[in-house]
Amino acid sequence: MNKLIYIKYLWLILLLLVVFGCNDNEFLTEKPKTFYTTDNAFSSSDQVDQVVVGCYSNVRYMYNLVGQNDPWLAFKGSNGTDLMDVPTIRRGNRFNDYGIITPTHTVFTTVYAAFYQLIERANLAIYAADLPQIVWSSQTDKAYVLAQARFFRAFSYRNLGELFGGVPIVKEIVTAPRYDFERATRVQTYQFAIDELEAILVDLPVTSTIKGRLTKGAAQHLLCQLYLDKGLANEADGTDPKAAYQKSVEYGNAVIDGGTYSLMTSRFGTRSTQNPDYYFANTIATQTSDRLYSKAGFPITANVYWDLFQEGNQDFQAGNKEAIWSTQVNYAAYKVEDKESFLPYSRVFGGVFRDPMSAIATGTLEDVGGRGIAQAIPNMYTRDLIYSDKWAADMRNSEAVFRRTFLGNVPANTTYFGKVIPWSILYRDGQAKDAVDAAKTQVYPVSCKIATDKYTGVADGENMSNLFRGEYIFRLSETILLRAEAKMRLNDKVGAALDINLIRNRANCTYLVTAADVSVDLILDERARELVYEETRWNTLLRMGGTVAVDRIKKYSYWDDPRTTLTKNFNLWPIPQTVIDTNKDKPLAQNPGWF
Amino acid sequence: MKKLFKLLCLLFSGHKKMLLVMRNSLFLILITAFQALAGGTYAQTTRLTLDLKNSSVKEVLQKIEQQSEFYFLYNSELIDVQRKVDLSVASEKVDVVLARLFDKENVNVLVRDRHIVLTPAGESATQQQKRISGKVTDQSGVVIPGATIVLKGSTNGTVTDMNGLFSMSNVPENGTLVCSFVGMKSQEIAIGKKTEFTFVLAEATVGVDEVIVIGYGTTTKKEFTGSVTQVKMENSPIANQPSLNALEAMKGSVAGLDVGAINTAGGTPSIQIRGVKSISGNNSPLIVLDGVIFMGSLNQINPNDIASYDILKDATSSAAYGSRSANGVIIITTKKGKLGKPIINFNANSGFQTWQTKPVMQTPEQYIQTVLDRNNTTDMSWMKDQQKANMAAGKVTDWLALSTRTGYVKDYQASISGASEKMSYYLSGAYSDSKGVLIGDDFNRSTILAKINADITSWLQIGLDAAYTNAHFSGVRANLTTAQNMGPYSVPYRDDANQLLEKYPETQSQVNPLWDVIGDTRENLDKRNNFRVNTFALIKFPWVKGLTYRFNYAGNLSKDQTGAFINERSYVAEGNVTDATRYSIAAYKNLLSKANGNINNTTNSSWLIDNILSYKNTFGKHSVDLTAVATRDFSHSEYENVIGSDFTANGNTLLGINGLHKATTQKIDVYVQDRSNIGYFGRLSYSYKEKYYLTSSYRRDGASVFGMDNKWGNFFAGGLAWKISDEGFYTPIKKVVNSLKLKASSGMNGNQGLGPYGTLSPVASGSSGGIRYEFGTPTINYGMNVTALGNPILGWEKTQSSNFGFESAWFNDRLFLDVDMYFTQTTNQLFTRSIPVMTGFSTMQSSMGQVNNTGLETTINSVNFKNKDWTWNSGLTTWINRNKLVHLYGDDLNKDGKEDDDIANSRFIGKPLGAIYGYRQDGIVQTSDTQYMTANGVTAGTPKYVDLDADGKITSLDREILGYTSPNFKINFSNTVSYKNWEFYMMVSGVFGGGPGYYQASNSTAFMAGGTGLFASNSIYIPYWTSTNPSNQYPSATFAGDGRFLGLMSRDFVRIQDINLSYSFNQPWVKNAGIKNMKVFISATNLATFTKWEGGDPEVGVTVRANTPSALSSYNLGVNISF
Repeated sequence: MNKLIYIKYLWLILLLLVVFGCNDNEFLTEKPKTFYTTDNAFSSSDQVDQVVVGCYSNVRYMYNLVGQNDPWLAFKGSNGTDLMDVPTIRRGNRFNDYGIITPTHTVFTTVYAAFYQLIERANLAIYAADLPQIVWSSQTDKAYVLAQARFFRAFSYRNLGELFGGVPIVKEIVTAPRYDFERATRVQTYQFAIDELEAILVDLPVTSTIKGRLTKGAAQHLLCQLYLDKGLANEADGTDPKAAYQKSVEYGNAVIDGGTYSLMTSRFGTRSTQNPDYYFANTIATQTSDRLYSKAGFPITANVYWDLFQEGNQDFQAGNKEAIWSTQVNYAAYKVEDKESFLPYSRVFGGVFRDPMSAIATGTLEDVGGRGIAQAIPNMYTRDLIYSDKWAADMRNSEAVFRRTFLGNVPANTTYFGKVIPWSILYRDGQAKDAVDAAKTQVYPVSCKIATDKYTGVADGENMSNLFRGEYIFRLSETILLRAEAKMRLNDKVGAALDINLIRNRANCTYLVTAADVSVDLILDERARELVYEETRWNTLLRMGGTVAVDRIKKYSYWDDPRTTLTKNFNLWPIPQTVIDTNKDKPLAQNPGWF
Repeated sequence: MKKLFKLLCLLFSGHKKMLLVMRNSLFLILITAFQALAGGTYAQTTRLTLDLKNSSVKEVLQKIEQQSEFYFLYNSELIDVQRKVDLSVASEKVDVVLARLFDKENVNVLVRDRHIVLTPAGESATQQQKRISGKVTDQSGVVIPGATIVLKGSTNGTVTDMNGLFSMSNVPENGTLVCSFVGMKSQEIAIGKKTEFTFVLAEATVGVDEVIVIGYGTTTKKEFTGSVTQVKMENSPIANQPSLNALEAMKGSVAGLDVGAINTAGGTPSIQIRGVKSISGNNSPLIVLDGVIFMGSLNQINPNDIASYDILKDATSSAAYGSRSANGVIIITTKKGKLGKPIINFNANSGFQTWQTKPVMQTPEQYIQTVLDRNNTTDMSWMKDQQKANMAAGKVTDWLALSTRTGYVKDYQASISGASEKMSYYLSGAYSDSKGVLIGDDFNRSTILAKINADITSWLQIGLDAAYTNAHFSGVRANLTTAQNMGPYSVPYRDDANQLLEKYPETQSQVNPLWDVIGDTRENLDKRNNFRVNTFALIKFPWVKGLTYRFNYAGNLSKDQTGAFINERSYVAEGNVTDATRYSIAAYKNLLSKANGNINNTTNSSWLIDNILSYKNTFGKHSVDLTAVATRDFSHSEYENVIGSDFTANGNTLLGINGLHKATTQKIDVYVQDRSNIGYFGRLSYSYKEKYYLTSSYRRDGASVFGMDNKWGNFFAGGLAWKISDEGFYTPIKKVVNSLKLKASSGMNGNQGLGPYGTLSPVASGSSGGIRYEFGTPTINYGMNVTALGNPILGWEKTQSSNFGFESAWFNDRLFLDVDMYFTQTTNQLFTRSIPVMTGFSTMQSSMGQVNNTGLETTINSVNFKNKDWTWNSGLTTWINRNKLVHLYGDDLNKDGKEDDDIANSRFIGKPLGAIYGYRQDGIVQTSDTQYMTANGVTAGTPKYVDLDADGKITSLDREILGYTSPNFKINFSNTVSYKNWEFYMMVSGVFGGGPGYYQASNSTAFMAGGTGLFASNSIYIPYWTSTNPSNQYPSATFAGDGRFLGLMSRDFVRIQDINLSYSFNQPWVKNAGIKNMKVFISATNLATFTKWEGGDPEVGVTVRANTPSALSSYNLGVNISF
């Protein structure tokens, strides 16, 4: 019986232990074990820099990964502008049919959100830099990290201002949700970015030994553009834009004449002694030396402009004096794990010869520009019109840079095998309109910016979709064209013509500009020649205000959609409907023309 | 034993204080079990030694039971066991001992192995009335030993022997015999002139005295104040349906319970009780398995082990699980051993599955025409050489047929169960194998369950259930989207003769739907192992009658492994089908750098402890049942993902997934998650005169997932019931409405609706953070960023609910009607809210707002017809549920005196959840609608919308609520007809919107020929608008979506859900073969669907070209034998 009682007590003790033995609140406290939270994430200055690394990564996503979805095809791919349209096979992705473009369109929602996410990262770095536990090795280090973060913020507001007009200015990290954001004016938005950049100029190094990191030149270029933007916004408001344009020229001067940057005028870089060459062959096995273009009598001579777009040549540190700021791409990193470290331009912008030209020039190899799927295609304006009557007079239209010679690569087609296919055949002259459209929107000249004769990684299974080079975000040519525009808007047409001729002279153009020629359209045409596939054309068109965007889109689009559906005179993208709907405590005005 | 102990250590590691107890109880159970299973003529070999003075006979018998494995069956009203005796024996056989204990004249002793039945001995010479005899069996003819037969209104009675036989004397001719047995319905027979009686007892399935399981205890349906529905599985026709998931069988059987469709092999259906209460939190009910909160996956429960379900729907019922019970509770009770001979049961079931709602794809001619019209072209150059050749040769591939097959289900079960008075056991094993209709959709599962309960002493009972489940979901399903996108002339095989797949049937972009599904290009792993142990100890405190303490411990350990290995051959280059070099060894070698794979090991372990103190007693007309519970549980998940890629350096991928460590690049990702809960609970149930019932309870709960200051919640509940039919004034209508109980309850429950760490702001960083950048070198710099905006104020989502209803029996218990009406208010809603993206985040979790649900449930069960050979029973359940969003953010910024809607999230005050908001379509723009076209810049053939504000233009102001995604009326009608040995069962269910615009979904692909983003994709045929043949329903082929077009379609449907026909053998040869029970059956599930929905299954809401399988139809044949 004693034993029995003992057992009973044991149970009771156990019961008490279980019920009262543990501290309830401790038992319920959450302690994440495998990730950090904002409470414990920051302990060293390196981590603040990691936030800035995230900003660089964001920008690369927006500028390189054009083909990921419609928003980036519009933003960086310039789809729907005067430069680019879609082919027959991708009419569903058209971004110039205003019957279906509404403020709910994913292009607006995504692009708008992406820049605010970049601002959030920048704000986080700025917040973290001042945390008491962060120890900086030097004030210079801290100042540089802060300067980069503030640069990204200014960069975002410039983009937002150009595309969407005045937007809410968010200067600090948000720890609790807010629903009462208010739109600043377009001028205020630009001014915030200007003030930020001017404050950090002293903290940015003139040059850096690290490729891809921001330098003073990038801030000055950005200021040159921002003041130009501000001047244009002033004009729209009816205030005097002169001071702004003058500042724009001033910052342009600092970059262009500051001694650090200069246009490249002679061959340089990784392939400075080579010329591009191609095989007229549609399988790798048949790429034998007897099928080289050069052997068939069509050698191609490279030039300095071509050098600018060869892999490894996009950085100032690599001897490229016109590279102000470029994204970084590294094939080795791509192979290991960084699947955003590439440039999908061959795929996104490349033609699809193998569809309409399958009987004459087929395949997905170098001679047809790689494995293009033509997500966005150059309008006739972009490919032909701007060079008409001066074909041979411009390096940017040279065979090395903008290849227009294609040899037949299907042996069965004896007419054109190894011979030049005339454009009348490529464009299917004389056939039904549908057939011509299919041909013209899938077969077009191949730019050296989007394709190459030497693809990286083919041995590893890469299929000539991607380039592994950095992409220019700011190149000196653009600074010059911005300054030219500022001068034009200051009525200094002589200065503007001189600037444009800097570019034309480098391109060995035989046709130069005179002051009388200078106009908005001339600037836009020159940008199309110099910066095609580089510039974010929507920004350019929209920042100019007025009816520039609408007129040019209607004039140059390949398809008739904008000509039949574009009835509004818009010069801003709409504020995304979800932004208006979620910001419930303060109504945000929609941009004119959108509903 | 040592091994077993080690295994247990593993299970309970981190919880060591339990081990000692566990080890002891386990030991005892096993010893008892082994002894019970040992054979031999026990009575002949067992010797007893007893030395008792002035003990009651009862005590002597208990002593014998303690010393030996004998147990006694007797009716204490017939055998005088209170008699005091002195007994002293040394090493005697049991029959000798019993002879000394009982006078042969009074008591018959029957010894069968370890069972000893004591019955009163025959008649005495002085009482010369009437002698009768008889037999008691169950409905299948199996004899029932130990059943009681009593002369009604007297204490005269007897108990059946081991052969189910009884005899009695002193019975008057005008008397009535009452035969009863636990778990069976009592039966009465008037004596009259008869001397031979046969009682055939039916199992108590329907009736008001059912024992129902509620939280931390049981009660009877009669006493209960809340709303509980019980579904018995054992021996019911629905158990014949081929369900591989524990919940599937309940579909349609319970008013207010929605069980979704299963559309993949081994899939788990969605479940929901009484509508959507939470805006975006969890709406699934809590599952309780054998009295303990079940923290595993439903897939781990073998449906054949389930004896019954109890669905707790209202607040008082589920209050016991306050913390997580706002969405109701489903209690699953598994089978137990039953008193009597051991039963060995075999069950085999197999059949095939088909896809009943398979879409009809376009004919080749329609396909070509649609492609051309869609792209507004007549040019055919998009067609590749091989496609052209196929077209010329008229060679057509039906891709949907190629990607599907006739699926099958096989299910084998075996179980052994039995019980003595002191111990019961149930052991089962099952193997299920299923192949879905989509190629690659495979599933198999083995489960083992062992349950042992033992009375160790008169005051201590312990039990142990242990289960193991091993399930395989490995395999890649054929891609339904590409199977429907592929054109009829595309090329499935690069080598027709050897059926070698071509990866790119159209030479580029679109991958063969069977690629990586068949062939040796990809390995796929999905293995899930689960061990679970439930143990309990029940102490009856001897010094207070009715006071017990129960300790539950449940441990659960899942080890899941998923993974994939995609070897170099999977990455074959695009190209013409004639280009075989792509498939050459040389080409593959170059692709080694692309080969990659991962193994993801996930371990989930959890434990739960309940301490339950209960007191149950009756004082005259007052009955009291008190329960106090302290409970806590903890679950821990660990996830390790090992990733390897690039096998160039290794040279091959022969080792497949097991060679991940040979990869050049190797990465690891680790994630750990903990969750804990604490609950304290008290409940009082009180009844007076068995007419008035009251239940009230309080629960205080803490959960780790909430913010620091909001972890605790308090939940009260109370209910009343009145057995009005027992009142004197009720008598006049008792003949029609035999019994009537009114009930009302109200209370509050909680919902966690939030995952662990949901209140924190997590930061992504390092390699696993996914933010990468390089600065001119291959060195990857990892970025860092906050990934979500945390919200530390998140707390309990609370549901206040009220239930009113009645339970009634009509026309001599031929019709049972239960009606329940409920109102629930769920406040502090946890949901993901869209916020202005200017914060850097587009969504965050919030806790605010209120949703109300109102519903009416009726359940009718009837015995329509019954005679010797025929019975026909029907069951009809209907339920209506309406929910309404009452409050959201509480703002009225536009000052219209009404709370503002949240348009961005489609949440509207005063309207149901799941609102579809947008532009109301008004047919298609016709060529004559010139004004509309000019105003909106659209062309003819595009969808036309209603201009609500009549400003001539379609703007965002023209949006309105178009409908709702939720259904709100469901009906299920089941019939069981049996004739002799035949039984036929059929259930028809219907799901309806039940109101304008309800139960709709966007089904734009059923209207649009365009918009796929692919030039030449296939689809179902759409009679699209053309200028010559203008449709007012289908847009033109070129229309590719405008961000407004939804193509709403009703998902209403009526379905023949279940049919089965069974035959039970009871012919003499069956008995002679030693078979106790034998039944064969054929069954079919999802036989036919009547709906207007196009593209696939309405229940799952499958649209054309969605990569979602539909609910399948299955046809099965099965047999069930027990010995």
